[in-house]
Order: sequence, then structure tokens, then C-alpha cells
Amino acid sequence: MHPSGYPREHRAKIIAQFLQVTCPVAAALAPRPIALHWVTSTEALQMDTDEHGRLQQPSLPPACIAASNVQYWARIGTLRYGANNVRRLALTHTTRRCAYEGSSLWKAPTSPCRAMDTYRPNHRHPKITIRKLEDDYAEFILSDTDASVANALRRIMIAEVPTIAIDLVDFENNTSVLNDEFLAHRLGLIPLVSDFAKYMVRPFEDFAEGQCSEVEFSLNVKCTEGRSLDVTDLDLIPDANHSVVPVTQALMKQQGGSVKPAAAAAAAAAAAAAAAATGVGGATDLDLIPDANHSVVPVTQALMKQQGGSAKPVAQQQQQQLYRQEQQQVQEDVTDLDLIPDANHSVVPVTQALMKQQGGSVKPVVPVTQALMKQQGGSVKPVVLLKLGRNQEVKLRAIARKGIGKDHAKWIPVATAVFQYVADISINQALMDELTEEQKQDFVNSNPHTATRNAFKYDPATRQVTVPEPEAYAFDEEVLKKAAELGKPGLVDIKQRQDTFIFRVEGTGVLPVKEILWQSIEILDGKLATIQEKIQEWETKMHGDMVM
Amino acid sequence: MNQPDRYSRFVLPEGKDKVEFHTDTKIKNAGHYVIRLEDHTVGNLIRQQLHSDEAVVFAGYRIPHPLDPLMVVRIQTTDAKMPQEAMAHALNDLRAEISELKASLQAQVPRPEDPAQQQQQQQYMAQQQQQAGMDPTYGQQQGGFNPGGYGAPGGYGGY
Repeated sequence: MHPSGYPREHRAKIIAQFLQVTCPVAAALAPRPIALHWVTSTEALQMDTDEHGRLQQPSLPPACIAASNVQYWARIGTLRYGANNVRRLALTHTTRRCAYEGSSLWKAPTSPCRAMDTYRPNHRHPKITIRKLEDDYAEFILSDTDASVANALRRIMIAEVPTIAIDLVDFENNTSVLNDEFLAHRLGLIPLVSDFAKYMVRPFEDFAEGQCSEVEFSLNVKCTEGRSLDVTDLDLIPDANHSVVPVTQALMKQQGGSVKPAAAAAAAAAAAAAAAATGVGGATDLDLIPDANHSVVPVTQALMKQQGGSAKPVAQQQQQQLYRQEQQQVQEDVTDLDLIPDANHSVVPVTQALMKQQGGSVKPVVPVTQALMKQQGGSVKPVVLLKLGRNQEVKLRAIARKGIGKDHAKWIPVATAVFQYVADISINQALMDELTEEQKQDFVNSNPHTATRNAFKYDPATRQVTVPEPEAYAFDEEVLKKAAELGKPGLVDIKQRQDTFIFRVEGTGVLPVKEILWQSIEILDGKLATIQEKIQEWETKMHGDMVM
Repeated sequence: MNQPDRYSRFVLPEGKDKVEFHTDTKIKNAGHYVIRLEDHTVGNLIRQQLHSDEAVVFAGYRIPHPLDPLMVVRIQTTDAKMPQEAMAHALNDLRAEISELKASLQAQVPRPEDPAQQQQQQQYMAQQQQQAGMDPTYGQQQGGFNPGGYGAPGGYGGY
């Protein structure tokens, strides 16, 4: 690709046309096809074209013609379209002297992407005007742009802003009435505080040092009482190595009815201990190799020595059973207070270290309800996962990962993200004046409205119909039908403004809406930047050997 | 069955390029970009921006198959620009527009400062500078366009 941005045959055409106008003799002498060679020059020639792009008499400097009958200077880069519409079409600062040399061939063309000199900014100047901004709700006006930008932002807010959600569940025991898949799905839908998401990597992405892709939770609840037990996201306990410990018992007490019986937590401890012990498989005490200088050997080994192999080795699993029994005895003394640390003691080492690295202010990954309860005390209701009947138990390990809504809806950070067009309503006052008061009132009432909100308003004092709230108009065309019914089809003219959009974004609580908004803009920019970069790469790949 | 892997929508297939450009062999000044792992979000945005370019005769995008995570933008231009140029300009315009949007938002809702992000930004800037070093033309042009400098350097100085 040539820096002028013209394809080769077109360049030849321009030169030929140029010669025809400036020096018919040279043009007549020129062999076909015209081969051109470009050399660097600071000299240039301005060429004028009419609005059809045809060349007009060029403002050729006289010295140029006099210089040589072989060499002509052409700045193909500058063409004029019409009088007022000047546009630059090629690299002007590397303006080349175009020398007609019958024998030489084209210099290698360069990538068109480098010819950004032909670039004329042709973009709008969009504005955002915030109307309302809360942690989980935002309303703003996006103006001076078009629907494609508004829609891109909306789509990104929904589908591409990363959050954290449970993605993999490992069931150890589930005697509840819900099957594993059902429960796993419900777990996936629990909103988790996702401020940490931007420091995480997705499972298929490259890891940098200090980055993690998974946050682990465990859930271990058994119903020991006669009445059914609610299992909620409060029971989801973040793994000590990854994240924080859950809300304190004090907070749970404030919650009133939903405080877990201590037995449930104690059972959790028992199970955890058992899980720790069962990690080892069928190793026997024969595998224990005593120290050479040590006289004490396992009894089985001593017996085998005596009896020549007829003694059965004591399986380590049997020892484990003993150990478990001991543990259970101990556990009767363990209270749930011992399990759940104080509210002030919320962060455990790994996260802490990561957070320090990443800048400190990051919120740990916990279910949103747990975070909210910490903030607001007992007024927050937890998300009920399932109910357990007597002696039913659920024990599982859940792994949360970073993801985006495009992959699965559980990662969508917003409940709603919508934009509406603004209605441009103009009333034909002349026609309106022909209506009676009743008709005007009828007309206003024909627009679907609520008691407090109507796009149209009739003011009895001035006898005028006005549009106090064009935003409340739902583009349902009811008023147009009414106007036709009244025999006044041109009474109102309603258009959608194509450059203004009212956005309403409602977060799910996993990320502040401010963050979602900022991230969506950054993600969009990132996408375009990537494409720009990759286009360059492609051009280099295709034309790299030919770059001048 | 024929369900693609979940990650296939986010990971570039081995040996494939994120962006490809193919020139149309039958029509002058026409070609299409194949952009992988992108969808309507970017497709419609680019198409719309291309439509606002006078040199663009045709611009459209399509997603050939819903299970293939790729998008195709077809561009035909007048002689004033190559399709590749039109694309480069459209992307430049869109990015300029987004940076204005950012500035507008920043004025009302400042982006919370984030040391990690700043670090990333610095890395990105360094990368950009490197690229600019390799290709001064491109870097300068991104820096800003000066209509007054039209024709410079050189211009008609010699005459």
C-alpha cells in the first residue's frame, strides 16, 4: 500500500492526468504503463479538483515546469474537493517527489495504517451528565453521540464487566431434597463482592506473580433439630487461605431467627477435622520406617518378625477412626464462637498480602449479604439456598472464579442496564386551539399515564396543552391515535432524539455502579485499542517486508 | 454434542490472528476485516462510525455463525481512501470519542485512584512509546492533528 493511499493504477492515472494538464508533450511521450518512482522531497505541488474529483488546472509553480521536462513534482497528497471541503489524502510530511522514470518500478508500498496523515478527526463530542448516583443505582444522560455508542456501553455493562461467582462445586455430601446440580446452580447465583475481580485472572488467562484465579468457599450444614433449617449464603465460609472469615456470631444474633444452632457449626468443625484426616489413603503402619538407632517399632512389625508374616498390619484407616472419635469427643466442647472470629478480625494472610500488593483498598470476596450485614447489622436478609429437614446434611466445597456475563448470567454485575430515547414532542398550537377544552383534556388523558406522571399536561388557566415531562412518553403513539380520532392528524409531532439517551443502571451489589460505569468505558476503549494494535500487527505481517 | 468449549469465546484459536484483512478481488477499494472474539458491541460501533465517513461507500458487519466467535466488517470506499485507511480512521475517531466521554465522566465522577491500575497504565504508556519509537508517524498522529500544519513540513517553501 502506497502512502498516498491510492491504489497503484489510480496513482498512475492521476500522474497521467496531471501530465496531460500540465505538460501535454511529456504526457504524449510517456510510455504506457507509466512506472513511477518516489523520492523524498520537500517540494510539492498543489492540485485542485472539482467536486467530482476531476483535476482542474493545477497551481503548478512555474519553476517546476522549467526545472525539467522529465521530472515533475506532484503532491498527490493534497487534493481539493470543492472550495470549502479541503481534505488531505496522503502523507504530506513525507511528500515525495514523483519522478517519471520509464525504467524503474514502484518502490515497495507501505501499510495504509501508517498513512494516518490522511486522518481528519470526524468524531462527536459526547457528554455524560449524572443525574443520580448511588452505590447500586445510577441515572445519567449520554448526549451528543449515537445509538451505537450507547448500545455498546449498555452491552458491555451487562456482558463484559468482570465479576466473581461460584463456578465449580465439589459435593462431599448432599442428603437434602435438592439435587447436586440444582444446588450448584443456586450457589453460582449468589452475589459475591467482586471488587477483587480486577486483580484476579480468568482460568485460561496468563498468570502474573501474585495473581489468583480462584477463591474457595466451604459449606457444611446439618440439621439436627426437628424444624427445618434455612441454609443461606451466610453459611458459605471463605477458605482461610484465600479470603475473609464470615460475619461474626454477634451479627448473626442480631439477625434473630436465623441464628444457626451451635450444633450445626460444631458438626462443621467435626467434618472439617475428619476431612483433614481422610486425606491419606490405605497406608499401613508397615510403611512407617523406624529410625535405625531407635528401638521402638510398630507392634505389627515386631509381631511379624516373631510370627513370620501371619500378623495383619493395622490399617492406618483404623487409626484414623480412633482419631476421629477422639476429635468428636473434643468437639463437643467446641462452640460456634470458637469457629467464627471477631468482626474486626476479618482478613487472613494471603488476601491481606495480595491486597497490600494491589493497593490496599480492595474489598475481600465474600457473599454480598455478608458484607452488607457487616455494614448495616441485622437488617439484611440473607439469600436462602435451601432448607434442610431433620438429619439432612449438605457438605461441599465451592470454587468462585472471575468471569463475565457473556459466559454465564451469574457474572452479570447489573440487575438492569437500559437506555431510553428522549422524545422530541412538538404540538401544533394552531390545530390545538381549534379543540374544545374537553377535547384537550381528553387528548391529554389519552396518553397512558400514572396519577403523578404524564408527558402531556392541560392547564385550565391558560387553556394550553404543554409537554412538561417528555421523558414520560413511552412512544406508544396513543396520542397520535387520539389526534386522528379528533380529526386533527397533525396535532402533535413526536420524534426520537437520535443523539441523547437516558441511562438507568441498577447494580446487583457485587460492584458499585460507579465502578461498573467506569469499567465499561475502559473495556470499550480497550477493545478498540486491541483492534487497532492487531490491525497494525496484521499489516506488518502482510507487508512487513515491504515497508519503506 | 456440537457445543463449543466455554473458553472458546475468550481465547484466540491457536495460530489464528485476532484481526485479518482481505482485499476484495472483484471490486476496487473494497475488502473485509475478520475480527475474532468480538461481537455486535464492537461491530455495530465500527460500522456506524464508518458510515459517517464520506469516503466510505459501503460498510457493514455480520456474524457469520452464532457459534463462531468472530465478526466480519466489510468496507468499500471511494478513491479518496483505502478501506484500511477508513478503518484506521474510524477506530481513531471512536477512541477519541471515548476519551472525551471519559473526560466528561471524570469531571463528575472521578475514577477512584487505584495503584495497580496506575501501574498497568504506566506499562501501557511505555508500550505506546515503544511503538511510537518504532513508527514515529503513527505516534505523532495520535498525539493530535493540527489543521494549521496542513502541508507542512516543506509545503511551498521552495517556491
